[in-house]
Amino acid sequence: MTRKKTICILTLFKDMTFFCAILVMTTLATPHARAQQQLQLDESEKYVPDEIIVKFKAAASRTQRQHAIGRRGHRKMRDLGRPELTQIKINRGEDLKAMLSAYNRDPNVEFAQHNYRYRATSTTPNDPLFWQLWALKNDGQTIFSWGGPNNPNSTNNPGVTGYDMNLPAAWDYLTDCSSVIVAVIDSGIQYNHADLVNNMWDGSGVGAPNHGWDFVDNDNDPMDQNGHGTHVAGIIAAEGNNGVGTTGVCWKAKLMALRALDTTGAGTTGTIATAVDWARAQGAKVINMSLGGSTPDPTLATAIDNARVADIVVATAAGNNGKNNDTIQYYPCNYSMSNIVCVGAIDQAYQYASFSNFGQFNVDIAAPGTNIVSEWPGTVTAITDPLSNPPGGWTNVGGGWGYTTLAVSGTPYGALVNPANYNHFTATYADAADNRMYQTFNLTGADVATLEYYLARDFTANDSIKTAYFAGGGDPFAAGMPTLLDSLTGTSSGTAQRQEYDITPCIGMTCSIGFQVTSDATTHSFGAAILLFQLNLLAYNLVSYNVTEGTSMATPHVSGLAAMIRAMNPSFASANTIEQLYLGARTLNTLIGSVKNGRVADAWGSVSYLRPTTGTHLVSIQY
Amino acid sequence: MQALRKRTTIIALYLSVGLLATACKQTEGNPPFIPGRATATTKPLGPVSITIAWDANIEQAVNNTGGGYFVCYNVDADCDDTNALGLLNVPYVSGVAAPTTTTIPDIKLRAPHVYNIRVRAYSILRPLGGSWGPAMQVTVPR
Repeated sequence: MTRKKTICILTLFKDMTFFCAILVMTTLATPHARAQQQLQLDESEKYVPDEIIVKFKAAASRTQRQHAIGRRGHRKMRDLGRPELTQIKINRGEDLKAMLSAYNRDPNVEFAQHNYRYRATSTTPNDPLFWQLWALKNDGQTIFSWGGPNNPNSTNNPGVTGYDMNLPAAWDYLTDCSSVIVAVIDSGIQYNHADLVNNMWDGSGVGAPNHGWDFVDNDNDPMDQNGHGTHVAGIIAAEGNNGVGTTGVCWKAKLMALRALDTTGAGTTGTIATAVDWARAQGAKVINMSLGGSTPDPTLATAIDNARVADIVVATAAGNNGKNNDTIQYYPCNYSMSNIVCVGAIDQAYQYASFSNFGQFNVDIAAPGTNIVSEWPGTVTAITDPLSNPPGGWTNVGGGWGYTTLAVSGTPYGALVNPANYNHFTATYADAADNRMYQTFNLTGADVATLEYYLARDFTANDSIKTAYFAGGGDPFAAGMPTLLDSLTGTSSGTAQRQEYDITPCIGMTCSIGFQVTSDATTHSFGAAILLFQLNLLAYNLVSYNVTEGTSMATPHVSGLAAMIRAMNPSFASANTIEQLYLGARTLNTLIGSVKNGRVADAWGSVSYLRPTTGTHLVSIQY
Repeated sequence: MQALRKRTTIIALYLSVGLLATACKQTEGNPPFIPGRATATTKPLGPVSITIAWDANIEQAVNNTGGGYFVCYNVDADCDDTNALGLLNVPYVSGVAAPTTTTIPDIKLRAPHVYNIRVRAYSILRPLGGSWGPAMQVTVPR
């Protein structure tokens, strides 16, 4: 008995013959049993107590086999791949050892053995933040902030154990996607980050020594000045099992950094479509586009269609407006090209994320998108100003400005306003005004700086509010000095709109930032209110992380999986890859209506999926 | 006269096999089943083996070590995991792909009978294989 069992297990490891594969696999106790290629005996509970595996002799007839089981009052559970190998349930309370002996003495039995228990092993990386990556392995853990600028969302945090993409099981088979170039069209990548540096694409042979291209500044340095692209890249392929930071869907990969979004996270047709073309020309096989907009763009559509012809999978975000993409168009998600995979976001309990756009016809698949911990280009510090009296460091030139408190969605905020008695009802700014308000800030130590605030505005034609900075301090609107960031007129229709500007050139000890209201001599309106004024300072390092959420975070989970599928199946076309992604997906009834067929990306399911074999036909009959 | 009749029967048999070897439409449940019509007057057909082929699966893991195909066959009934007269293993051995043909051995049945045959791929990740492909039926006539 022991000898036979040993032979079988060895055979499984060496040859994977059918007989032993069947025998071992049927001993896996749970429906989630996976990773069959790495099985270990569980010494604490070796076998199923009321089951026996019997191998009948080949000469034993069906009747003899049935009789051998039936006369002992036992029940055949199933044939294990062939009739002579049978799994048998013995009676409750019977002596298992005695029954084994009885079967082994039966002249029709070749051998009988325990139904041994095995457990699937799965590959767990040694990365210190792996335990926070619920998307890859959800243990019901609570997700925390990791020093980045964002805090975790409290909804379904913690979530539900088992609601994850089943990565450890898939990693048993494949962790290395480095045969596939994954282009990240985003805000760039902090390509020197300790957890990314070894997974960057080498473009030195094509004049891209920094692993990609910067289409915003049109140079060869796609360093991330925002953080979004680095976070996305880490989800796809933060180096796995290197004892550093997080773990990507792929442990090894070739990440191509294509900076098409600027410091504030905004891009254009020109930067994005050109990046798609560049990725195609350089051999990318997966493109991640965690971006989108509401307007159809023929140039971008053509670039993506050219990528389709070049056999490239394009994973793109469904959008974060909580809208229905089946009725409100969102691009590239809603383009009809067959190489597009539009990705919606689900949370730690596999509920559709409230912010995620949905659509049972236009959102192809869902993936984890809330509370995702990943790499960040450096530390972020914020300089805020309460915009309340007393005015602090603000200097007023020409009058007109004042402070008040405004309620936004019921929450009161300090506001810098012009006119000083701003009420958005009766008070108006002055005619022929030149009212300036500025403050000087110390931005030393930062590598990247942005200015962010919310603005409600009502101006008539020829009147406006301007925003400017000056690195030398003092009035940024003084003659010859200003670097004008914006000049806005018209109305924001009673809403406060977010404004964000790159002020990196202003970094230094004396960066003055100011606002100016100018008006003509005739008409006037309610003026301006500035709220939530903030300066964001990014100082690069190689060891920063952040938690954030969005369909932007769901999309790279799918891009990584597409890279995994292509790495495993080098002959797969993009269509095969996408088919594999969908056929291996988990389906949840609760998500039908939100995403096509209720699909959720599942790494193990897609990596291991086997199509039904077709084309079976008769060749010949031999008599 | 007897010899002539035998020759005629063999010709008819080949024609029938060609006509009746049809792939059934795949369903999640049991495929269409053509019941056998064996009678006491049926003569032994003698040794019969059936060679079949199928389209290669495109998954790399099927066409690599630990991969291959299972061929399930049954007579006068559909075949699946729990109901098969035989199950053949056609493993990947070497080269670029696992074999896509095999011969179901002589099972010494009396004609006429309907062979139900299905193929499914397996891999090192799924040693038990994926879903069975569509059933193919081969009628071995009287």
